Amino acid sequence: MRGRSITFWLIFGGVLFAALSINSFYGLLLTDHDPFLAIIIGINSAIYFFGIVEKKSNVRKRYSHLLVGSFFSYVLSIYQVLVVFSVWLEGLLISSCLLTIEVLNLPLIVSGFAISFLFDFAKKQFETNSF
Amino acid sequence: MENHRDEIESRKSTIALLGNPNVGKTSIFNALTGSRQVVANWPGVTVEKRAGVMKHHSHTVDVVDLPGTYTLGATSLDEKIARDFLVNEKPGVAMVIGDAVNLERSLYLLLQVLELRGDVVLAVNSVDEARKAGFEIDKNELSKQLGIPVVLTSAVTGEGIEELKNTLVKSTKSSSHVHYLFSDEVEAHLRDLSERIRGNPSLAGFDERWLSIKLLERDYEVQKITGITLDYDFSVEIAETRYKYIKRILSTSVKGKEKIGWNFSEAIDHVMTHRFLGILIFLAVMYIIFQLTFTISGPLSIMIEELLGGLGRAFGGFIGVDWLRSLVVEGIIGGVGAVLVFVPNIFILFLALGILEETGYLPRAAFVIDRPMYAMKLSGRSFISMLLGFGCNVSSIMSTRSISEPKERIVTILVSPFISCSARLPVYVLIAGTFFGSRAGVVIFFLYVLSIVITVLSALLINKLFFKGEPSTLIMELPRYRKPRLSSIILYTWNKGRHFLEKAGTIILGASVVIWFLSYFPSEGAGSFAAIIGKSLEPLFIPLGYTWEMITSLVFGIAAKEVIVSSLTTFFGNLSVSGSSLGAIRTLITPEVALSFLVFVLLYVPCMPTLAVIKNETGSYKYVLFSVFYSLAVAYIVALIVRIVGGLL
Repeated sequence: MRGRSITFWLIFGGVLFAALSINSFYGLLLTDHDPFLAIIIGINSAIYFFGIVEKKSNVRKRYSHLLVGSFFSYVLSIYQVLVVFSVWLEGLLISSCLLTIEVLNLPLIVSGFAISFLFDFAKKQFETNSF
Repeated sequence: MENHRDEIESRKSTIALLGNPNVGKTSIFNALTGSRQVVANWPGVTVEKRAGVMKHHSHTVDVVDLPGTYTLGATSLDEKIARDFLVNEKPGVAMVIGDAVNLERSLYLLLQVLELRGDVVLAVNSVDEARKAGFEIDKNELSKQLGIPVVLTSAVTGEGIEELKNTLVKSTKSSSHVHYLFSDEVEAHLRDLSERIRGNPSLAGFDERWLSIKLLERDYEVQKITGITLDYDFSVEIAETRYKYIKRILSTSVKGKEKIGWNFSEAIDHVMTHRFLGILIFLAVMYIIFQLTFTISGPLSIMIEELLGGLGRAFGGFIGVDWLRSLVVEGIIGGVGAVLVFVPNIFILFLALGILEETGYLPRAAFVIDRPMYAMKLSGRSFISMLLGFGCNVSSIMSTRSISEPKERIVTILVSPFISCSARLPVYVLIAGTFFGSRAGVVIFFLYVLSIVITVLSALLINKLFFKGEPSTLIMELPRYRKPRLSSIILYTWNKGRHFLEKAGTIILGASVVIWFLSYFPSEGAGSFAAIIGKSLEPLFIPLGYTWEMITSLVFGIAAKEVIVSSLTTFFGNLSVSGSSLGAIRTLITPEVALSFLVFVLLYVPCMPTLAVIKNETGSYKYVLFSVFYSLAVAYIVALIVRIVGGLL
């Protein structure tokens, strides 16, 4: 991946997760209002944005932000899946469906899993030292 | 002569395991002895020696796992434990465990052991990781150069363990000393010092050359033993000679590809240990852990609650005598059950902490916190001890043994009980769940952050008032990131979590019976002994707004923090055992009083086992008393602030 592409993916990840953070903060689209989760997603967004601040010539440093940022996004989506599973199970035990479309927070789950492909890619770059 | 032979045989029956921190000593120990000691991916897991037995064919040998050490100096308590064992106990075989990826540093320790004694075996561990990183170690060449048996092992895959056992039980005679000389000047001093030591009959049991080297390194302990203090210091020159020798050995015995750029761990560390991002990531990780601890355990707690509820109803149905029914259903099943409901929370917390430890994230957390901690006169090493306090304050205080600076160690011991241990978690979940509903996870996260803030501020205050001086700088090797192994994490979670179950069957059971007795006699409710205790202290707690039931539960909670849950359920609960059946308390106090109560529980007097370990580790009741009164004062002040501020919002 060339320098320009890495910049694109860092901006893409940063903007996407900043948008998801705002979405969770205000509970806008398919999500509950959850300011604390919004802050955590915001931190994920910051990991991407700090990568853009790194010198363009130092591709490894930029890649490391993509690597950690995309892994963190993936962890957030797993976290959300676990939360959804717990809510579903709790509802099952008390014979009442507690799941709603907002509880699912689909934008976070889908984005996290989609961006996990970036993690695999960035990881491979370091393992094969292909910069 | 016969006696001498017997002595040699008996000495051979013990093998001492030495090595740098985090090279896998405990894993090798487990592999040799079949033990299930907890291993983790951070330095300083072993703070005291552990013993086990290795059975191999017809041989039975004692194996002692010593704390990790970089040198045979005695600058910290764990280093001293390791060295004293080698010098005083004289084990039959000393096995140095090296890290195949970082062999240079491991050989530095090995050389120091070889300066002290013979009968040494080198186990080069993590050889699988070294291969992955592109290194090949020639064990025959290494063995030839060092003059001792060398075995390549991997405690993870089990590679080389059988060969290691065979080597250990065979005759392990090796050369007594390594074959390198220091500079002429140093050797002249060594000869001179050896002469002086030889003339001292009280030092007959020690190796003269080793003592002389240590004297030239200005080793305080050796200066004390020999009564010799030198004006000159050759420690740098001696270290350089050792490293030159190591370089020579490695040039012929290790073949590896040239390192280009960063590896995977370094890339992750660039972000994880970032000046700003590092702390933010740490907070985010903690938030996720505590939120999951609360969320995932919810359904599991409901299942246990249902089970115990059924048990309570079953017993209640066939016990005819009122007081006996009350004892069994409300006292025993209600009291112990109220705590058992939180078993899933405890296990999930330890599971999450186990993953953090296994991956190697924990030392990174210490690294990023080191900068603000240094400003507070504490080092990141203290923070590692404190992080252990999330599990149990007792293990946290024990782990301060690896802090070399005595004042810093005392400060860490005194502030460690402020870290929120797992025993407090059931209280948080119970009260936060009752008063804050879906925001309970956030309240719990707030309590954990508050515990860190109070710990750090207390360290600053204690340092300013009682201890002057700079903290030691954090010099810690960041371990490689590892993919967590399921077996390790399950073992870790079980080892930590079972203490909670053991407590439920012992302290909490006993306390539940006592609490029931005090709350049932001479008459139930406001006329009980428990009410007398609570009401006698009530005036002190008027500003905080606590009821006598809450005050009495705080008193009982000094035995073990989980007992607060048993007490509250006994006072406020009903016949159906339920972790969240504190409906009655909601009519008595407001949410800000509930939050203030949680803060009080977080900060007030450490539990009895913690106080006992403070006494053991500091050797003085002075510090125990300080810990009790200081924590009470802090708890009262902070809880009052929370109540006042909460009331204004």
